Order: sequence, then structure tokens, then C-alpha cells
Amino acid sequence: MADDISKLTEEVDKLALELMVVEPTDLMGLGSLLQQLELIEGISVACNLAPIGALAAACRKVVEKAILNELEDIEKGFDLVGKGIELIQKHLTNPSQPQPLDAGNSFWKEMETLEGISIPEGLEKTPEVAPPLKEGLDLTESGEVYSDFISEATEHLEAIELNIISLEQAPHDKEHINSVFRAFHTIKGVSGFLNLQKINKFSHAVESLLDEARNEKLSITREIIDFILEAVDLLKNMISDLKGPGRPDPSRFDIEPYTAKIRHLQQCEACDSVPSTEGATPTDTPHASSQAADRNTNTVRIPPPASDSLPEASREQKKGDPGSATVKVDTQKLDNLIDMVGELVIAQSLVQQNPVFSAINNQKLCRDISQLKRITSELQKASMSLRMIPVRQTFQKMVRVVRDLCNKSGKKADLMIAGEDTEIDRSMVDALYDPLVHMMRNAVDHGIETPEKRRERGKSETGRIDLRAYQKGSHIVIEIEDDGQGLDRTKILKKAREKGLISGENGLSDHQIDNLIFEAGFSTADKVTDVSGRGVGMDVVKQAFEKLKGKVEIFSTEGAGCRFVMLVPLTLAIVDGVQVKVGEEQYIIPSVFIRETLRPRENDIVKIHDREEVLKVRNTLLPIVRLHDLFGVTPRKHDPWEALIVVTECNGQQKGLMIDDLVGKQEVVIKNLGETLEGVKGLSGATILGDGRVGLILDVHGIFEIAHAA
Amino acid sequence: MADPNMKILVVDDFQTMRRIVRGVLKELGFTNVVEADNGVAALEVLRTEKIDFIVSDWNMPEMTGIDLLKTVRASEEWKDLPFLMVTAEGKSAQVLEAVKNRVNNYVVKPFTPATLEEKIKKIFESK
Repeated sequence: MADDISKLTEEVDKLALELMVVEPTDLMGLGSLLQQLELIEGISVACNLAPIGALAAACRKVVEKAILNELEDIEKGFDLVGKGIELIQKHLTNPSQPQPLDAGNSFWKEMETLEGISIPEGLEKTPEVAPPLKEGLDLTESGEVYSDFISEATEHLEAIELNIISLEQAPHDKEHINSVFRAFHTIKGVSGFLNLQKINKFSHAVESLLDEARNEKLSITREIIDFILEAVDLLKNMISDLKGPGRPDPSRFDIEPYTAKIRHLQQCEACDSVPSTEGATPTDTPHASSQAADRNTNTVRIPPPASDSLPEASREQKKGDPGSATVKVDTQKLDNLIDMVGELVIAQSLVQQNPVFSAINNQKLCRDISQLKRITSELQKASMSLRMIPVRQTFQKMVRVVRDLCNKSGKKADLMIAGEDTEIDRSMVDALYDPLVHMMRNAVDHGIETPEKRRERGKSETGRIDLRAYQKGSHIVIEIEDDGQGLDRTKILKKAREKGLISGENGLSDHQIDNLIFEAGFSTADKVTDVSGRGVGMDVVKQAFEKLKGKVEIFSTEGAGCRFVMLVPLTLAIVDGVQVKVGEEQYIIPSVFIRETLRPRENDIVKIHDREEVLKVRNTLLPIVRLHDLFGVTPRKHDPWEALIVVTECNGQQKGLMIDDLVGKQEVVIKNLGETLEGVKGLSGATILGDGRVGLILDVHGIFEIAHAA
Repeated sequence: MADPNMKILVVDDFQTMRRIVRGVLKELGFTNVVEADNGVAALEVLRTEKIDFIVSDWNMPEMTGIDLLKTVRASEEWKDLPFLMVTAEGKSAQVLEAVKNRVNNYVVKPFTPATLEEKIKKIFESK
């Protein structure tokens, strides 16, 4: 005891000395005082010297307040601490006296008054917390800073979605919980700084919920996952409100129901720290339900046995790709660069095809020109690839889409993603999102049967949807395949007849019947479901792909499933085509539509009703399109059997385009037709050919439409 | 007084925040700014460049601001390096811990340029 007293006395004397030296505004000095007071408090409590402990604690609180700038009169505070130290010293000379001495009473009274003053009354003092500004900030850079925040927050929200769905399969994975927590935490932080009060408040509330999960005071249930996804949706809305035209209007968003739900969720959970049995098959269901009887939250259902069937896509996103160093480039600059490279290709081609060159018999010159061509090609490929981004992000968004769809419709399906590293032109990425969502909807709503029905048919209860991407030649192929019930062709025929889309059942092949679903106004949904809308889906999807200069094909097997195959060109700037001649004009037909080219025989041509010409090819009749008639060009060959027929296929139909000559295969740079000519059906652009002349690029869809409309 | 040419290290894992602080520092005349996105990266910078002042956030992956502060104060080289800690609103425990670990000053988010300027001035006035 005596040792303790002397030790204590030593420390208190040190403290008294320090107090004399420290300036009240010296933060570091205050920190030192604080440490000293904590030490003294600690020792006295350990030695059971309660009154000294209490005095030290009181002084400590004053110093803390000083540090936090919560003292109105810091000089007074210091005086008080000085008095407190004196009292402690008095106690130490008389340790056996438990009651506070008289002088102590005034000390405590003053302490009381001081304690009461916690927040500086006058706002003339620079407060630590910035005075509440109206929502939003006035920094000159705020516009840019908002857009930074918007893009970063959006990335965070996407990461949250992925991680939270991973949590469904592995609810105790701390990595995921932490990632989600950190994401909300960062959003809270920056929104707070930018004084986006509502976003800040809301993300703070969700963050606290996740904090409890992190500390194992709350276990991740289905209900919580659903709630967090709803919270993500709300945040997305609030953030896009910032983007939108006009002033952001946070009053539109009511976060009350959400914060109430959070409180509810926090109360419902028993504070049970879950033992980490990660790796083992998560059979958590019984454990959680053995808690309070009145709990009715859905606990994590036992995941399907092949729990590693969860596609790689939705596993945790590693924070920042370890290998990639990336740069941010203004898209305008990128587009300019690519335009110029396009011009370079054309210019180089003009030079190379100049007839003067073929006259010059100079080996070295030829080699050099070839080299030039090679380098230009490489340059073009490289610049194209600058615009390419992997489909991964868009594909991964489908994971959540499918999950939500399954929830709403009561069906079960797993989404398997493959080829997410396949790259497409960035301008197509956004355009892809809606059609893909549409097709997911169709797959879940019309394709995959209910679990009972699947069982009846001997299929697994959980359906499977495959989403694949790969490159094929100059195109990217995207496939969506489900193992559902496939297309109901009888229903389709019936509907098509009702809508007057076909007359009679004139020998339509299965393939052609399937393609009927792409017709406008077609829908076989008996009732409009909330999920699938009004069945305006498939023709819109088809149009979307056509707009991207691609196409959609469908292959279905009744009872077994349906597969959509979509093609999009690698780039919208170049088309792989075949150059053809009609009269004096040159045209480019995109290769993707070409099946074959043939020279017909006279007896194979049949004239129908004196206006339509048809060619017998193997077992089918191929309608002939006279391009020269369509475009008003004088051809050199007037009869099909003297000319060439290019068999083209589009939307399940085939037609033969009549041309004079084939020039050859070409990769051409697409130039837009310009406003005046843009609406012309049958043409989708133009290019500069090797001889400097303009070649028009044919729009096969358009040609099919106008060919026999006349 | 604070030398406008002094090299300031801004540490925060959120790029937008670093940008904001950089912007504010620029307004105050400090253009010599280096960035790091967590405590470990910050130490790397300290090792390779001559830093005169650190502004650091608290919550970061790999190494938090408080751990960075402790490491800096424990090292022979940097124990007197001026250090400003950025803390979140309402986290008085953080402030107290930072002060106990000999931070020069702290600033609470959200802060105005004026507040930051005051804090920086205060730190360099005593030097």
C-alpha cells in the first residue's frame, strides 16, 4: 500500500508540473495530460482509493472535453483541474480519510456546472462540426466532385450486390460481410463530406446494421439480404437523383420505413454469436430457428447440394484486380483517336491501290508498302481494342436479375456464366443490358417450369440458365440457354393466326414458327404478369440487336429447353463484308448475312404471278431480289442466270440478291450516311473503297422488308 | 509558418476524399501533394520521399490511420512529423486516442476549407 501511495504521489506531482507548463491550446500537451490522468485514475482504482479515483476521473473528463473543444471556458477548466489535483494531493497525505474534505464540495459544485456545459453556446466559436449547410456543398469543384462520387458510389453498390448474393451461400464468410460493410461505410463518409444528408443518414443506418453482423451480433438471414438489396435500390435512386436534370430533390425519398425496418431487424435477432463452421456445408436452418419462439424470419435455406455451382461471377469481387494498372481516358479523345486511325486505314488503302503503283516495278517499294499496310492493320486492331471492355459487368448484373425474378415468380433457377472475359465495344455494353434482362425474364417466366412441374417431368427442381459469350470470327456470340419447357409451337401458331401474322399453316418449319415470336405485337402470355409485362419483349429485343448491326436466332426443343443465339459485330466501326458490283455501283454486303453465292441455271428460275421470281435451290424456293430495281441502277446482267445470286439469311428467312459481279472479301471502315440519307431503307452506311470511290453498305434487314412490299 | 512548398501526404482509401482534400489544400496554396490509399502505402511513400506533413483518414484497409500514426510516432525518423488526423463526426473516442498518441491536430468530417486552414496554421504556428 505504501508503495502504491508513493508511486501515486510521484505521478500526481508530475501531473501538477505538466499542468503548469501546458498551454490550454496545445493539443499534444493535452494528450499528455490525459494519459497521465488515466494512469492516476487506473492506479487509484486498483488500490481501492475511490475518492482519488473519482477526482482523477473528473479531471480526465475535463481534459477530454478540452481536447474535443467542448469547453466554453478553457481557462476555467484548467483551473478546475488544478484544484482537483490539489485535492488529490491532500488526500494522498491523508489516505485513510474516506470523506471528501470541505474544499472538495466547491470543487464538485463547479464540476457539476462545468459538466453541464457541454456544447459551446455561442456559435461564434468555430465549432468542430461544420454548421449545417443546406444540402449540397458550395465548393467550386462540387460539380466534378459529385460526378466522381456518383461513379465511385455506383461501383460500390454493384460490389455490394455481388457480395451480398455470395453471402447467401456462405453467410458466415467474414470477407464478404466486411466488404459490404466497408462499401456502405465509404458511401457514408463521402456523402457526409459532400453534405448529402439523406444519403449519409441512410447509409449510416445500414452500416450500423452491418456492423452488428460483422461483430456476430446479427446473423445474415434471407430477410436481411433482401432488405439490403432494397437498400441498395433506394441508394441507387437517390444517387441517380443527383445526376438528373435540375436540382436534386432529396425530399422525394422517405427513408423512415427503412430505418424502422432496421430497428426491427436489430431487435429480432438474438445476440447469438455463431460459431464459424465455414467450409462445411451450411446447414444453418435448424440452429437459427431454435431461438426465440416468436421469430418468423426466413433463415438461410439449405443451398442446393452442388453449392460450388455458384458461378464464379458472383463470388466475392477481389478488391481491385491485383495485376491491372488502368488509366482513365476521356471517351471523346478515344473516339477521336479511333476515327483518325480509320482515316489512316482508308488513306493507306488509297495509296496502295493507286494504279500508278502496280506500274512501278520496284521490289523495295512494294515491300515497304506491304509493311505499311501491316502496321496500319495492327494499329487499327489496337485502337479498336481500346474501346473494348469485357462483358463481365453486364453479365454479373444478371445474377441479381435472375435471383429477383425467381423470388417473384416462385421458380428456382441457377444462372451459370461463361466467357465473361469476352470483350465487346463499350458502346454496346449499355445497349445489351435491357435485351438481356428481357430474355432472362422470358427464361424464368416462360421457360423454366415451376418446381412441382419440373419434378413431374423428372427434371431437377432448380432450373439452369446458361449465359455464354465467345468470339466467332468478326462477331461476338452471346447465348442464353435454359433447360425449361421450350417454346410451345401450337400456342405460337394459334396466337400468330389470331393476330393475323400468318395465313393458314402453310408448311412453316419449326424454325420459322419459332421466329414468329419476334413479330411485333406477339405475346403468348395468358395474363399479363408483373414480371413479364405485356410480352412486348421479343420484337424489342430483336430490334435492339438489329440496331447494333447484329442478329438474334432461336433454337428450341419442346420439353427440353430453349436457346437464344445473338450475334453482335466486334465493333460498330468496321464491317466484315463482301464487295459486289451492280452496274457501275459497288456495294458491300455484311458477311454475317451471307450463306452462299451461286450462279443459277435458267430452268431453275420460276416466275410466280408474273412479278416474283423464285430460284429452286436444292429443296427450297428462294425469292430473288433484283438489287438494281431496288436502287435504280442499270445492271450489266439482266437475267438471273447470267448474273450471280448471293443467298442471304435474316430472321429465319432467306432471299437471293442478284448482282453482276463479286469483287472480293473486305473489311471496311463504316462511315455514317449523314442525316439526310440516314432514313433510307436498305442502306446502313458507306465506305471509301480502295479506288477512292464510295461503296454503299447494304442493310439486309431493310432490303428484306422493302423487297417484296412493292 | 507553413511553407507553401512543403510536401503533403494525403492518405485516404476513397479517391474522392483525396481529391477533395487536395482541392482544399490547393485553395490554401499548397500544391505539392502526394497521395496514398492506406497506411501501408503511406509508409512506402514516407520511405521514398521527403514528406513534411501528413493528413490521414482513420478508417482504411491494410493499416488504419491510428496505426499509421503510432508507427510514425514510434519511428526515429518521423516521430516529429506533423500529422493531422481526419475523424468522423461523433467519434470522440477516436479523437482522444489520436491525441493520446501525439497527433498534432485533428479535423472532423465534414470540414470546410476554413477549418482545415485553421488546423494547419495551428500546427505550424507552434513550430
